[in-house]
Amino acid sequence: MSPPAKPAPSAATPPRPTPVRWLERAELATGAFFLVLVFVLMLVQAVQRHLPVEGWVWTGELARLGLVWLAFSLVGYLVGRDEHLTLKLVDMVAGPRLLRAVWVFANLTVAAIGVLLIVEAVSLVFGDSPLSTPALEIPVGWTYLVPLAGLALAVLRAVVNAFLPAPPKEEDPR
Amino acid sequence: MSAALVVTGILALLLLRVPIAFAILGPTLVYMVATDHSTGLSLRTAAQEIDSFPLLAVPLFILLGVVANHTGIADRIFSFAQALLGRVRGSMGYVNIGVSVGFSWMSGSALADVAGMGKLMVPAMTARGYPRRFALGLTAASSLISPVMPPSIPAIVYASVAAVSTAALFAAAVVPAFLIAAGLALSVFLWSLRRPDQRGERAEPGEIRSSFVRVLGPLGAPLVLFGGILSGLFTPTEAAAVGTAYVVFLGLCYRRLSLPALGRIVVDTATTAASIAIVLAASGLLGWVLAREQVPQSIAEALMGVTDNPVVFLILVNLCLILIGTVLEPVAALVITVPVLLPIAVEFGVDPVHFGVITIVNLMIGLLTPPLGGVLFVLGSSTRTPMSEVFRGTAPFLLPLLCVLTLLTLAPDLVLFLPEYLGL
Amino acid sequence: GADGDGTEPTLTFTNSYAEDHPHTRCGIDRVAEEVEEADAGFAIETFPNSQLAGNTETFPALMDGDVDLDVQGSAALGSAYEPIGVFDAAYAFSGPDHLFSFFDSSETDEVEEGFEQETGAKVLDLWYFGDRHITANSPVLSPGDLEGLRMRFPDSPIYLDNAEALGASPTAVAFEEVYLALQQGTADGQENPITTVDGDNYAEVQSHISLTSHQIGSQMVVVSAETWEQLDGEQQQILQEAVSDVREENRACIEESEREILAGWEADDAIEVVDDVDTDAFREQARAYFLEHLEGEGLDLYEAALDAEETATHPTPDREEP
Ligand code: NA
Ligand code: NA
Repeated sequence: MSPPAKPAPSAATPPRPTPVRWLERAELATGAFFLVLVFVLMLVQAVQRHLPVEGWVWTGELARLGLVWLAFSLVGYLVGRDEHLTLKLVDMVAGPRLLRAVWVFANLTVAAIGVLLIVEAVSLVFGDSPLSTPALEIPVGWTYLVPLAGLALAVLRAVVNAFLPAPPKEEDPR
Repeated sequence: MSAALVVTGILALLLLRVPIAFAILGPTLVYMVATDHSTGLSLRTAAQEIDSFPLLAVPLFILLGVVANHTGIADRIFSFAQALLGRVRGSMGYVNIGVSVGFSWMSGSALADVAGMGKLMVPAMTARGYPRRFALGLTAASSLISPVMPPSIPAIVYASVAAVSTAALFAAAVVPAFLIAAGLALSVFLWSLRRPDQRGERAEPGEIRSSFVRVLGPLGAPLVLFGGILSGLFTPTEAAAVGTAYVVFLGLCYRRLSLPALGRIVVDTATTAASIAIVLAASGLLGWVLAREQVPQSIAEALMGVTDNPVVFLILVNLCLILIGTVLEPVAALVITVPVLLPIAVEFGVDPVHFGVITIVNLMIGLLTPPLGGVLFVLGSSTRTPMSEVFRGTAPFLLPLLCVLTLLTLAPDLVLFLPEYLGL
Repeated sequence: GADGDGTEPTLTFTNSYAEDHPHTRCGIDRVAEEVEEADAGFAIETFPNSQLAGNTETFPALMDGDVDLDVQGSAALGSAYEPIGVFDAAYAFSGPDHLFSFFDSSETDEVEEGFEQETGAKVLDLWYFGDRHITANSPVLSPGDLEGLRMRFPDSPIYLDNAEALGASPTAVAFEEVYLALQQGTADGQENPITTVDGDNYAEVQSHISLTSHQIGSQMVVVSAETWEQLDGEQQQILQEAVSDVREENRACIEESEREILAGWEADDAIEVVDDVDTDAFREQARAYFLEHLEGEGLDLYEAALDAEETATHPTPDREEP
C-alpha cells in the first residue's frame, strides 16, 4: 500500500492562468469573510447577553445564513482544486489512461449536476416567494444569491478541469 | 424511481471519483425531477440542512483547533507531560497519549492535529530509541482521542442530524475518550514490559514547575469552553467562538500568530468547513428522499424480523459501520448513515446519545484502516513515511480500540452515566 | 404533489410534533383515518416529527405543492403574509372559544383570502395548541416581575412583539439550546404551552410556571392550492370536514394532556404552578401596545378579534362547508 498516486506528476500541471488565480483569491476572500462573520456574530451573541443593552435576536439567524454562504461561496474553488471530500479509491488502482477518463467523467458529472442546481437557484432567487426570514426579514430569495454565484463558478471550474491535463496537485493534505 | 436506485447511483458516482456532495446530489436530483417535485425544493432542502444553529460550532471548532495547532500548545503540553512522566518505563508512550488527551480539549478532529502531532512526537520518540513504527502507530491511534473528547466535530454533526443535545453528546463522550486513552496506555504498558531500557531521566522539580506554568495558558482553554457552558455564561455554540477568541489571544501573547498567519488560518478553516458543510447539505436532500420513501421504516421492519435484541442489532451496526468507515470520510459517513440507522436504533430501544457515541468511535477507527485512512495518509505525508509503514505500526493498536468499542456497545451506562449525572 | 400511483392520489400531511403529541395522535393521524373511512378515492400519508423536513421548510414546500397538507403556527405563516401572524399576538383572544368563534366568523375572510392569494396555500381550519405561559425561576405575577429577566422568545416578529408587549427583554437562544440555556442560567425563562414545557422537560430546569395565558396558541391546517384543485368537490368536502371535525377532539386531547401534566407536576412537586397571575395587568398593557404598534390589516384584525370577545361565549355554528 502506498500513498494515493496522483494521476499525473505535478510537473505536468501547468501554472494556473492569472484570471484563475485572481478568481481563487476572490473566492477565498469571500469564504474567509463569511467565516469571520460567523465567528464575530457568535462572539457578539455570547457577550451582549451580559451587557445592559437591548438584546439582538438576529445574530443567530445571520450567522446561520453565513454558514450557508460560506459553504456555497467555496464550492467552485473546491471543485477547481479537487479539494471536495472525494472517495479517491480509483486513484490507487487505475492506470493513467483510465484515471484520465474517470477524471473527465467526474468533472462533467459535476458540471451537469451544477447546471441542475443552478436552475434550482434561479427559481429560488427570481421565484417571487413572499417569504422573508423571521428575524431580519430579508426576502428569502435573496439568500440564494450566494449559492447561485457559487454554483455557477463550480460549473465553470468543472468544465475547465475536464480539459486540463490532470487534477491540480494537492499541496497540503488536510 | 425507488430509493434503492438512488443509493446505487450514489455508490456508482462515489466510485467514479465524483465528489461526495455531488455524488449524493446527482441521483437525488434525478429522483426529485422524476417524482415531479417543484424546481427549487432540492436546493432549498439542501441549504436548510446547514442553516442550523448547532452546526455553526463546526467551522468555529475547526478554527479553534487550527489556531491551537499554530500556537505551539502541543509543545507546551509535551514538555509538561515529559517532566511528569520522565522516569516511568515506556514514558514517551504515555507522554504521547497524554499530549493527545491534553490537546483533545482544544481540538475536534483527528486529521487537523495528526500532522502536527506526528512532527512533534515521532522524532521525539525515535530520538529516545523507540522504534519508529511504534511511534507512528501510537501517534495515529491516539489522534482518535481528539474527535471523541469534547469538543468534537463529529459529535456536533451527529447532534444536529439526530436532533439531540450537543451538550449531552459532549458529556457522553468524555468517559469513552478516556477509555481509549486507557486502552492505549495499557498497550504501551504491555509493550514496555519487554523494554526495560525505555526509561527517561527524572525531571528536576524546577523543571516540573516551569513546564507547569507554561501549560497554564492552554489549560485555560477548556476552562473557558466548558466552564463557560456549565456556568451559563454562554451556550455550546457560542462557546466555540469564545474559546477561539481565547486561543487567538494566547497565540498573540506567545507571539506565535502574525497577521499573515491568521489570514492563512482563516482561509484554511474556511475551505475545510465548506467541504464538510457542502456534504452535509447534500445529505439533507438525501434525507428527504429516504424519509419520503420511508426507507428507515422498511429496513427496521426487515431487521426486526431477524432479531429484536438491541445488542445483536448494535453488533450488526458496528460491523456495517466499520466497513463503511474503511472507505468513507467519517463526517460524510455520519450524515449518510445516521438518518437511516438512528430511527431503527430508537425502535430497538437504543438511546440516541449512546448510539451517537458508538457510531462516532466506530467511524473514527476507519481513519486508521486501509484502503482509505485519513490519519494514515496525513501522518504518512507529514513524517515522510509510506502509508504502508504507518499502517504496520498502527495495526496492533486497533485491538485496544476495538475492545473499547465493544465495551461501549455492551455497557451503555459507561456512555450515559455522565450526561445523566449532569442532567443533560 | 398529489402523486397518483395509477390509482388514487395520496396526500402528504406533515407536522413537527412527536408521534404521541396531541397534534399527531389526535390531529393529523385522525384526519388520515377519517379520510380513509370516507373511501373517497384519495388517501393521506402522515409525516409527523419533522420526518420530511424541518418545521421551517415544510411551508415553502407546501407553497410549491411538494407537501400537500401542513400544520403551521400563524407566526410562521406571518413570514409569508404578515397580517396572519396577528392570530399569535398576545391577548388577542381570551380563550379557545373566542379564538374559534372569531376564526369561524366572516371577520377573518379577508385575511384568509389575502393569505391564499399571496402564498397559494389555503387555510382549512385552525386547531388549538394550548395557552402559552411563562416559566422562570421566580413567579411572574405582573409585568414588573419580568424586569431584569433574560427571557427566551422564538425569533419571529410577532413573538418579539409579544415580548415587548408583555414588558420582557428577549434574549437570543436557538431552540436547540433552550434547555441547556435554562439549566445553566444563560437564559432566565421562556414561554410555551404546557405540552411543550413538559415535552422538552423545561420543568426540570425551571422553578415556576406562571399561568399568564398570554397567547392562545393555535396552529393552522393549510393545504396547497394546487392539491386542493386536484380534488373533486366531494373530496374537498370530505377533507374539509375531516380537518374541522378533528378540531374539537384535538382540543379535548390537548386539554386532557395539560390536565394530566399539571397533575403530574403537582404529584412530583416538579415545578410550582402559579395560578394567581394578574392577567388583567398583562392584558391591558399588551393590548395597548398592539393597538399602538400594529397597523393596516394587522391592526384591523386585532381590533376585530377584541370586538368579537363578547360573542365568544355564544359560539356561532361551524363554518360553512365549501
Ligand atoms: Na476534542
Ligand atoms: Na479507513
